[in-house]
Amino acid sequence: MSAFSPLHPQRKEGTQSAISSRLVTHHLSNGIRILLLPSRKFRRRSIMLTCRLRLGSQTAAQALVPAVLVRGSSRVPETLQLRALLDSLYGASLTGAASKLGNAHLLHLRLGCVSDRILPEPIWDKALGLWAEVLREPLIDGDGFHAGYLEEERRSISSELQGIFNNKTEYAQIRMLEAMFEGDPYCQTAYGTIEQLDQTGPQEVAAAYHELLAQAPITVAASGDMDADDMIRQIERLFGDLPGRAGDPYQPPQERPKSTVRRVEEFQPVDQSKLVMGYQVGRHAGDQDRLAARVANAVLGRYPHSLLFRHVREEASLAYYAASQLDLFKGLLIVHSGIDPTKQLAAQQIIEQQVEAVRHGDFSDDELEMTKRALLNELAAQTDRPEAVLGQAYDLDLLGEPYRPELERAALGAISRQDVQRAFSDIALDTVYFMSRPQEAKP
Amino acid sequence: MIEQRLARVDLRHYHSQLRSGLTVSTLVLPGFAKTYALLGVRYGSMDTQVPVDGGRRAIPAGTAHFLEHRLFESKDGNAMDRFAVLGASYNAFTDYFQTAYLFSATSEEEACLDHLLTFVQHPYLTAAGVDKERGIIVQELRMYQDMPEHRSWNALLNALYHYHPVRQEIGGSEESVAEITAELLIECHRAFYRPSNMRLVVVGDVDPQAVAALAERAFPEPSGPAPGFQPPAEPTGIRQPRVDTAMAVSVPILEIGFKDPEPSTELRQETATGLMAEALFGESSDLYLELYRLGLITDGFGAQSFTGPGFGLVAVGGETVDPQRLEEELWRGIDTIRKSGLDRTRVERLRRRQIGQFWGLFDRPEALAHAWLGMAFHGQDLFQLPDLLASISVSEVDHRLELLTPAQASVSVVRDAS
Repeated sequence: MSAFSPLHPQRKEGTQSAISSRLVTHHLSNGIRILLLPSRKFRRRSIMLTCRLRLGSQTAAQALVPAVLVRGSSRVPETLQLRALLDSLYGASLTGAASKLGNAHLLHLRLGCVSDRILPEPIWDKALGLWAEVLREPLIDGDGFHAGYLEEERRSISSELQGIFNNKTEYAQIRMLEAMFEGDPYCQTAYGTIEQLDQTGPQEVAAAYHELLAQAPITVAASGDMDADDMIRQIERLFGDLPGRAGDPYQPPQERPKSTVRRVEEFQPVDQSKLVMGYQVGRHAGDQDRLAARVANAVLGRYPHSLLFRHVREEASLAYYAASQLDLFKGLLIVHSGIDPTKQLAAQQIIEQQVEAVRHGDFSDDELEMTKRALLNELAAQTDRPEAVLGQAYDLDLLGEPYRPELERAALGAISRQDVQRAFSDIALDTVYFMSRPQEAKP
Repeated sequence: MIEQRLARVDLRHYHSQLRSGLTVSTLVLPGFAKTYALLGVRYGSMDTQVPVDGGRRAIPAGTAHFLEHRLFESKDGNAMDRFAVLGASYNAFTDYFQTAYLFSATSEEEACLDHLLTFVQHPYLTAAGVDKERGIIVQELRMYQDMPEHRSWNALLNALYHYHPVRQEIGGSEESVAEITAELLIECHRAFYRPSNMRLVVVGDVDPQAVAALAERAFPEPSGPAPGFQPPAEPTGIRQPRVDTAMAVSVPILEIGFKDPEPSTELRQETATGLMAEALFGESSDLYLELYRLGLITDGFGAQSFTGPGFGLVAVGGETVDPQRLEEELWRGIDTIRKSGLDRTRVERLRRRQIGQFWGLFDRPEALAHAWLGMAFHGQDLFQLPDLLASISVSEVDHRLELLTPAQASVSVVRDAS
């Protein structure tokens, strides 16, 4: 690393940037957790509430909660009226979403808007008020949410689930997960399944909403130009009255029995075949090998200089893409590739060889060094993306650990070839999914 | 070097044109850890002719994209490796107007920038390398053929335009890339990769003088004029009103495109068109909410205006369970608004929304660099947007509704083949 860069005359190694951002954490007395990243370098402010439930039979009902909340509140019941208000607040965005973190089901309600200091008039208080209002004073119709909005959101999510097949890459990955995690609620998407949606009535959605308010772990994360104490007071004012709630200690993913490799083959009229392979890593998010596992995954397939891209695409010309991704909250590694339909066996063989190469430490010093540098670059660049910092801080908070990027930096630098090998020493292929054109229809 | 300031967002822009003809723009974002650099060549899929001896010769579709793929190959191996050794992330892309090479780095920025400016000047194009790349590109083209939005969009451009090269796929076809040779790529590199035909945009907490000095060292000599672009004579009317594509989909796609009979890349007109499309089809419009209520659209529905030299269009659509019904409802909605005109207060609100989006751009270095480069290649100045948004009148926006006539429209539908 250079000690001094002429492109950055004011920056020297080890000195803090003039506009530094530091994470502030706080807990309200009712157990609600607060993560703040105050920084003047950003022009936007955002605040996001994340509530943690479990994936299961109610996944679809739970995912409908944020979708319905952002349609209107008791005071602003019409969506048209609500969106007009947001437009007039210089395009403030109010969004609801759901995601998976291992077998936890996260529901998000997010507000983003331009900082008051840039605008000709202040808007934050109004925008924050709207955000809190859709959550705390939703549009209720009898004993449930507004039936019309609920039906519209149910239909919209259902069409989106139906439409996943339009994106063959995403579809192939979901089909692989369905096979690999059959019987585990993780096999569903964060929005459940079409069948679940069909069976979800207003009572189930109302029940999920009440669980959110009454007992589910909640984290509120905010970033941008703000005073931390002031923001904590605002969050306390909005949520301090909610009932107390316990934390939800991290549980490692369940060990899965290793058996023979599952194989799923699907025929579809596609030009490019999709090969997706699911591996059990034998390491998880709370594991001491987690950082080494991230390095191992990156050596394998995170970058264009990783083994998969080099060997499967560049040398063998077998694929347009070949990459791997790691989900330590599920102890899962996925390799996905888009290949020539006649090259399935060759591609699978080369992919398996690359996983073995990482496991046996069969990669060069340069490859390890480049990978670590790339990860360090990502870690440093993360400070420019508040949502990424807050996302990582959230994951660590769930593990009961503080966000300490400087420690991670040092630990990453110290990862050795032996660490990488150890992290993959228990890796095992679990499921292979292959989608291709039926034999007779090959062009 | 010219300085521009946007005090409200604490941003300075420095602009200079070097002796070689290279244009350098540095956007200084204080406090950002990352330096993002984008080197754009005004050479995209639209450039279907290469200048030769005062004239022009046709080249196969997909040549610019092929050259982008091959440029990472150097005499001593892969040019990407150098970025990897420096710990930077890097990429490249080709679109209708441009080929761009980029990196993002939090250290060794100077070495990265030097490498970016150097490797694009030294192609290493061999017959064997070109043949190997063809296999990868064919895989890429096949992947796009399986993407319904991609197919719909290309079919739409094909239906709207008779001759303009925007109707061709960016990557070309399996047949056209079969014709591409190392000699051709060398010829195109010589013709298009000239500093007078390139722009460098750097975003980050950097010293603009140092950036310009480095670019000056990398490109010391002038190298002749930019090849320019002559759009072919294009009829004002559409080529065909409807186009259907059958492929493997689980939900159909409907898109309606409106061809602008008098296209212009003038920023004022483009901004007015964008506001009109947002007012009519955006997620806070009556029409959007009505279509959503009817279950005809999902969050993916939207409209965009797309303009370049010799062409301009507005496209609206997305995935839908019932393309026929969606089409009818869209025409009904367009008819109603064309009779009543746009709601004045709504246009005022959207003006604010777009100003907010403009300021938000300065938190995202990548998006800022891309917006800047794309606009600069069209002779537009991003910094003029706030004033423009403030000064555009409702009647100017209203006037753009004239675009939305059935005579200027093509409809593209993608349905399941089985």
